[in-house]
Amino acid sequence: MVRFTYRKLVSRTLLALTLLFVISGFGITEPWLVRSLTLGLLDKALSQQIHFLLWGPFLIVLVLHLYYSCGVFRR
Amino acid sequence: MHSGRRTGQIILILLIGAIAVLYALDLAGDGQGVRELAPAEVREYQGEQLSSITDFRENSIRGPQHVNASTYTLTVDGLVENREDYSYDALMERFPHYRKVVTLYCVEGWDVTILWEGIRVKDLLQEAGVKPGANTVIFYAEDGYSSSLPLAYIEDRDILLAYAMNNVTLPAERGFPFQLVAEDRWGYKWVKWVTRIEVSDDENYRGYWESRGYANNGSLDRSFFGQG
Repeated sequence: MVRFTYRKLVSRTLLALTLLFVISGFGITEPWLVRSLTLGLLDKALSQQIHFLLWGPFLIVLVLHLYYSCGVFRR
Repeated sequence: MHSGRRTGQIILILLIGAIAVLYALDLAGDGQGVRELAPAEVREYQGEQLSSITDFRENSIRGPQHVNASTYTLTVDGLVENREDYSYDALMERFPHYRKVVTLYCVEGWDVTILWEGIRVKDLLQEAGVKPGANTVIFYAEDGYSSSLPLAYIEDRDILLAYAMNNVTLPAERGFPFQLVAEDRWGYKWVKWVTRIEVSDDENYRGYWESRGYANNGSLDRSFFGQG
């Protein structure tokens, strides 16, 4: 039960981080588009900061996600 | 069973530890030790050979202007619904960016083929809202230079206000922060250090060189001398 909750939490977090990673990436290459889609919240400078800061947390959550998903380690 | 789980946990901890260390080193490295160098100029684009930034000849009326991006303002006024004053950052973020290869032909006899990157003048005019009756767009520069182009020419083509050439931000000598890319027009129409764009109904407006005998049309298929 506890493991399932952790799994779910990790999955949701990974989804959120992935989306943020992609959106901030587009915020760098297509700043005018992302800026208008986010109503001015995400400009190029902020996108760059977020994108460059996100890789560490993203990889850690990804590894946790793989750990919880991998059948060998769950036995 | 237990040993498999234990192994998995050890691998997990090692992986997370390694990532955390690398991440910490990356964060610690930001802002120290590494300095940004100027990006390298590209000399070929989609199979087309490009000239170099250094192939230009300096022929501005008062020498290179050194414009400060943090205090720079581009004004769009004249026959427009809304006068606009843009900072450098606002221009870079607010409008779509475009790039294309265009050749500049100077009346002195030399030419350069460059990959230009910039924003479209017609996007600026669209945001300002051109009033009926307007037929001319006048570009003013930091050094007092000016030149004009027909409004129809701007609206029918993707005329750029360039901030980069060959993937390199325009140097001061080349018109930083913005140079007009007046394709199919002689070089004296390519205004550098643009600070103001005025929409006008004065189709006879003559800029710096035009008022000294150069053709107002400036089209490459015509002579650059004369009143045309």
